[in-house]
Amino acid sequence: MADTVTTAPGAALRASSAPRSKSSLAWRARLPGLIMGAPAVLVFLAMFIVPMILAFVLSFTDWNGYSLNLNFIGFENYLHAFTNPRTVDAAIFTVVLAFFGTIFCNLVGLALAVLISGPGRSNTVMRTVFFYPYIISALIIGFLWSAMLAPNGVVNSLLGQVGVPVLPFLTDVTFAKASVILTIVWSHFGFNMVLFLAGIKSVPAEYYEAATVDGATPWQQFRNVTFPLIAPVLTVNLVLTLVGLLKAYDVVLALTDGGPAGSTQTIVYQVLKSSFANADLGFGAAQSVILLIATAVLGLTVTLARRGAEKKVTD
Amino acid sequence: MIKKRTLGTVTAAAASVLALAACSSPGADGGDGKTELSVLVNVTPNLTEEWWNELVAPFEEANPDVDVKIQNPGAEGVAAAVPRLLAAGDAPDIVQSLPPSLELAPELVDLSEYEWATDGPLADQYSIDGTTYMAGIGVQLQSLWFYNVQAFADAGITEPPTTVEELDADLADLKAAGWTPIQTGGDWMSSHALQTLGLPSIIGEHPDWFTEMGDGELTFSKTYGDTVERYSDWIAKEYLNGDALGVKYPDAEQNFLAGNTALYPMGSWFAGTEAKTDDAPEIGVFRGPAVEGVDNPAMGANIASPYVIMKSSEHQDAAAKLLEYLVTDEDAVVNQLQVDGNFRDGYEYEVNELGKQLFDIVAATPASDYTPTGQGYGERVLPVGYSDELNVQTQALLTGVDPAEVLTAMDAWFDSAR
Repeated sequence: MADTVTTAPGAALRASSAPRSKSSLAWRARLPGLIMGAPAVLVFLAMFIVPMILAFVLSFTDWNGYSLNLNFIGFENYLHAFTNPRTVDAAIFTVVLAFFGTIFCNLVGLALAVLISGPGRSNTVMRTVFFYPYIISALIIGFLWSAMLAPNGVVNSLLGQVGVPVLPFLTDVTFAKASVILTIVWSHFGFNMVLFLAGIKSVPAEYYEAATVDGATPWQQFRNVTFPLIAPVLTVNLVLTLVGLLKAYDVVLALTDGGPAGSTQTIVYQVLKSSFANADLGFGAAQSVILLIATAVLGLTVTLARRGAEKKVTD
Repeated sequence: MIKKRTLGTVTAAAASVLALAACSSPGADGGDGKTELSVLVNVTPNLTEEWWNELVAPFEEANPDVDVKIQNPGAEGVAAAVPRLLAAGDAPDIVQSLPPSLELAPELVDLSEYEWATDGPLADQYSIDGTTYMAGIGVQLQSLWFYNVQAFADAGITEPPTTVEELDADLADLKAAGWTPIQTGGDWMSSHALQTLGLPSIIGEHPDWFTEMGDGELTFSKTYGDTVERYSDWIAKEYLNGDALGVKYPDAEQNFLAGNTALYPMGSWFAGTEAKTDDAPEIGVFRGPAVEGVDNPAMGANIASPYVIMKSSEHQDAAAKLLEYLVTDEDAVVNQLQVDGNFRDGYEYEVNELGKQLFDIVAATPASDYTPTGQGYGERVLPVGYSDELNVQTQALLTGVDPAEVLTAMDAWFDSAR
């Protein structure tokens, strides 16, 4: 038989009813928000968090993608990733691509945004023209430039007409790396330009009027008014471009297919090759986890560095 | 607040989704009581879905209780689709064009009890631990050199070479006669030429090369060294088209068919393209020779259209019946061989002169001479990723990298991958 404890009913009520009613009211107030937010949270968990956890767990296994019988092999996949020459080469090229790609995309995007930020129909047309490559499928862009940069492609034909010999855009290691970076920059700078344009448009006109009254040249206006005030946009642009380029795959696939001699293989290219062509999903998962960590570290580093720069500007 | 009606709607929707998922699962019994067999196939410009449906139509007529559903993996391809379908518990009953491997074998039905499987082409070569998991319809020969007859005449070559040394001399004559001796290209083609040059000698000298390389008993530099050196020498002497790395497979094929190059190392399927080409120059073919002293040059060969039955199939007997039809019915076999230019001793179809030469090569090649290429198959397999690495390093040769560096890189790769 259960023990019974008797307390004075009034005391219990006094001890708990006031705070409970407050928290219960707060819960009731929050409930609609929680219910409405729940589907989004569930989708986020199912589509992002669960796959990430799965990839992390699988990276410690020898899963081949066929059998559900998988063995835990500790850090073997990670050790293999750091000693495999192909993965190391791919990591180096990915960093080079992300570094130069991020710089060029932002330089070109910023320069064009400044040049065509003014009113006028021609500027509107130019904005559309420059943004257009960004909305084309990356695979189409890769195939397009692959045809144009081929030894008998239109670029070499045009160069030939002015006496330039055939250039090995896709068949020489250095040329091919440069071709991949420049093609990606060509396809991406429109996005950076649009963000910079939005930033420039948000700078109050009075600042420019005051600078003009003070006799500032256009360059001085850009350096002392525009650039400091679009610093947060630059941070967003840098981080988004960097993260995007660290995941580069489709343009590489269509433009060079990782060649010549594997020189333009990226980490994501390697992940897909390991996972499916080589039926080594455990190794592919380890490569993905390394990429995820590297992306997070680099993204955070850039964000923190830019936050310092932004603070200096606002101070 | 969520109303009861909303909850009811959600429940109904979930039930509908589950019901739809159940209906779409493969190997199910059709609503009309028929056994439904799903077959995941490789769909190409030659092997269209319509062609596949026509191929199995006579079987369906003869077996009215079976309904064959052809599944197209789309751009994903069969090799990538199978792991995904297996993980989703949605695997087809039969898979075409995916040969058995050590990884895949536990998911496959043992076909060793069926004579039509064990007596089929390359059945021994593709067996794993003595177990047959696959039935194929024919062979694709890999170690072949197609040649332009006019180019050989211009260079004063009267007979195709029978040793690598003779081939070396012929290449010099072709170059001297003003021809680009060898047509190759980028992508996977780069290493195909190297393997066509090397494997007949390497496997001839080391019949267990695949196993011994996999186990680390042999090294790449010791066994492939002479071939890599020779190939590098050919590149230096400009025996290969200079723009090789920028040439895609279809362009390489068309360049050879246009009569711009003298030799084209390619698989037997090239004969199918040649047969469809109007105004093609006269083309001959010879078997990849070995170096002097190797009496039994190996012949690289892969199975054409391998079929496997998945262990998860609920209709394994019906699937075996369909496989027996696909690999033994004369019309079905000839149809499959002809559409992709493949070959099988005893199953002939109407071909042109080049096709006849290939049939002669098939008839003159004992099964024991056949060897895998690339990654290998059956029990003769190399570490995962070998084909890609060999291609990368062959392309490095084409960009001017020293052969010694290539050999060192390949040895290092084997050390890392074993």
